[in-house]
Amino acid sequence: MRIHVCLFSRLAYLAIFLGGLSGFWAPVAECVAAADYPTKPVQIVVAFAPGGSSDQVSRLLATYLSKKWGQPVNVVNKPGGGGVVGTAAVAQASPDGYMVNNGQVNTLAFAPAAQKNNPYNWDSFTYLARIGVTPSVLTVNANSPYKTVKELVEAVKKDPAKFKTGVSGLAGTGAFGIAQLLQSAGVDPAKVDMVSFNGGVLVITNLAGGHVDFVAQQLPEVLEMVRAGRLRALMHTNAVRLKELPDVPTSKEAGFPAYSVMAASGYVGPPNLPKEVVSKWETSIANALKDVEFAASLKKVGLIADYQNARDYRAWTEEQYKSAQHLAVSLGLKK
Amino acid sequence: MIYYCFIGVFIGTLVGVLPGIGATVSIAILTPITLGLGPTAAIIMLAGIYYGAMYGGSTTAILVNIPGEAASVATALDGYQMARQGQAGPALGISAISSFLAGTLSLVLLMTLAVPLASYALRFGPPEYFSLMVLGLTIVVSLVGKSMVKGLLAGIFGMILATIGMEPLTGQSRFTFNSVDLMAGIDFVAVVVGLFAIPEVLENMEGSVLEVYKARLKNLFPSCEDLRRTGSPMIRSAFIGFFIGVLPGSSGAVAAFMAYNVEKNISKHPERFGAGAIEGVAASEGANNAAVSGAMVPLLSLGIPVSPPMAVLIGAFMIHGLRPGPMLFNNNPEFVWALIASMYVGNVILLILNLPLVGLWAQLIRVPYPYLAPGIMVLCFLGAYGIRNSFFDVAVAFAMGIVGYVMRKLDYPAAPVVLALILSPMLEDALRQSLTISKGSINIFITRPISLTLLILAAISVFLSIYSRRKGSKATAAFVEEDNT
Repeated sequence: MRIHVCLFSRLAYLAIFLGGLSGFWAPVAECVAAADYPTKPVQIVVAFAPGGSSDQVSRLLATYLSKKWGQPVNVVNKPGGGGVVGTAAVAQASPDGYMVNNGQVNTLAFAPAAQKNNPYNWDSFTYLARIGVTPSVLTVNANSPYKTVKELVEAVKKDPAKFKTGVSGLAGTGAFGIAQLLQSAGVDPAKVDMVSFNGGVLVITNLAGGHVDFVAQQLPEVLEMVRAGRLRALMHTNAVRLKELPDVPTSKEAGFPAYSVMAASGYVGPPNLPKEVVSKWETSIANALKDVEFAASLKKVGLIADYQNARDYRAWTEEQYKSAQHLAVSLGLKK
Repeated sequence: MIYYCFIGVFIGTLVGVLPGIGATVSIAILTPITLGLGPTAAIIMLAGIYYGAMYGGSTTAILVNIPGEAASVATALDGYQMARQGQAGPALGISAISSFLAGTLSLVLLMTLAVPLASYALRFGPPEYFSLMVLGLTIVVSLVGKSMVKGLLAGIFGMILATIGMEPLTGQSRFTFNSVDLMAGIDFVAVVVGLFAIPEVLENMEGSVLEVYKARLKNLFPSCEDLRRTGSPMIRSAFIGFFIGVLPGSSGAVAAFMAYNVEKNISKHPERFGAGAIEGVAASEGANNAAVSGAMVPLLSLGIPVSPPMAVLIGAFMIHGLRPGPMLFNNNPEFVWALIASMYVGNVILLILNLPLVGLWAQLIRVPYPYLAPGIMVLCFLGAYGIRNSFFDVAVAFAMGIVGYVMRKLDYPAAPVVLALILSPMLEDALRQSLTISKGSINIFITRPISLTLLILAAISVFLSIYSRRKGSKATAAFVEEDNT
């Protein structure tokens, strides 16, 4: 009998405890009205390991936003699967704006376009704002006989099987940039051997070591090696000439406008985010880019500030997705 | 400056003790905070975190068999056995002394060889990496334990685990059963925690839990005999660690295992390795610290980060307005030399900071095991969660704990699983890259001189391991009769 009483009282305690818990949470859940967003800490999910561009930019922005919003903004790294894992986690997050993702063109547009069974599509997100872009630079080893894009392309046309190119994953900006160039020059991209490395650093290392012949990597990755005379930049995808590399032509000037791939960094959240959350992010990022100190540190990590509001960023990503679908076919990733 | 170096080393040692929360994450979190400091002070502090963490990982490996990062797995093999025999003090002491000695020696190598070595690192293309990984995998032979077949099976199990996730070339998923979590692959920290620490706790609880560690701590500091025995292993490990560390894409773990393997193969009593050989601890710790200096070669001379913590460090350079690249030595010499000087100071601070702590840490095992065990378990799962903030990794650690317990009961060694899990993704990448370059011909591995040399070394390594195994098993027969350790 005593045992029964004891058990009963324990159950009662448990019930009170659980009741208390739900009573505690219920108002919080209602309170997540978006009007005075954010009312609690915000998480920026970076789908890559610490140290990359996505991580650096997000940490700088998090420091800035924490100050402006009076709420902690934290960066959480969820690396793996070439960025797909962390991005998928945000696509499935609850639509309150407290978990957003640093979206890259690779994860938002290229992965859904090129990979079978990708867990999300390009439109599985609420687009918030684009913060900046990084041009792609067509680069060869400094010892390479090819001094201009035309010389390189002519040689590749003559004997595509002789050439090897290095990329970081077959569904990334590097591979798509090379496919754009080769297709527009009338060479089947599948005829040139693409050696895929685990990260841009290894692509550059192998180009500098002479193990591959040409690459299309992002500006910050190649800049110092080009300046030091170990690598030679042939053209880049920025709209105008770059201050960092004033002698290198844009792809339009070089006569290959089809080579246009750009890496982009922006912020997206799960679908159906409240309007207030979207406009808060739009204005905050626009203001951040006007902040002298923030803009200066952004430049140091190699991102060219290029703001787009939610609508333009979404439209731009859709465009990237569509062109990536064609490129994926030409690379033999999809049929 | 010394003050910032001290803070960095101190934070690094603290986070190194926690598994999963390694150098990479701490540097990334602290980088924005250092914006107020000058670039040199900031980088010195962040670099301090790096080598502090490399050292800190060995503490838990030795005391409770939780290797906090891949580089301490080889340390745990003998360090933990020493701790159980009441030798925690000497094991921790030797690991501090060896880290210091090999760290300092490798810095001399860094200063004298940085420039010529940078081009040596560039000559390593995919075929060379492939052969290096083959050489690395031959170490499995010396980790197999009693039965060769069981050891090799454990290695294959590790390779199979490594294939889970997104395939490196085209990004298609393998063995993921449409699970997003599996797409990220199996993280090795979860596996290490599961295969090493959890089965250890479970097994200890079967018997009399009060006698897990020999109650009496024999001595706190290494004896003269210990120092004499570990002198040459420390120096050898400095060289091995440094030269492996220089190669982009390799890691401290590869260096530690290679140094361990060399010591085991040239030892007169290879059978002592795995049962508490102090040379094993010295070799592994020395090599992983020397690898840090090695990794500075491509970072400072080419701007190429070798390992994830280095990549974060390069980000910190950029935020502080320094441009790491081939011109860094010319443009910012004062910065480069201050950094190298700080590494000397950092190594001294590590020694000063840690030798007195050895006594304190060693007391930890006096805590009655029934109280210690839950703490170990909490640390394990916390570490597994900390890797990438996901409960999936906690589940993996739990599952691996059960697998590890069964393996232990059936006498399957755990170390080959971890080694294969670390090496096979790199092996696969390098193999497929090489074959793309050679258009499918495997001759590429024997026509390139560095690659061929590495393959020959791999053959010698297998031969030596088998030879020392024969020698070892004969010696054990005699050894067992006189001493039961």
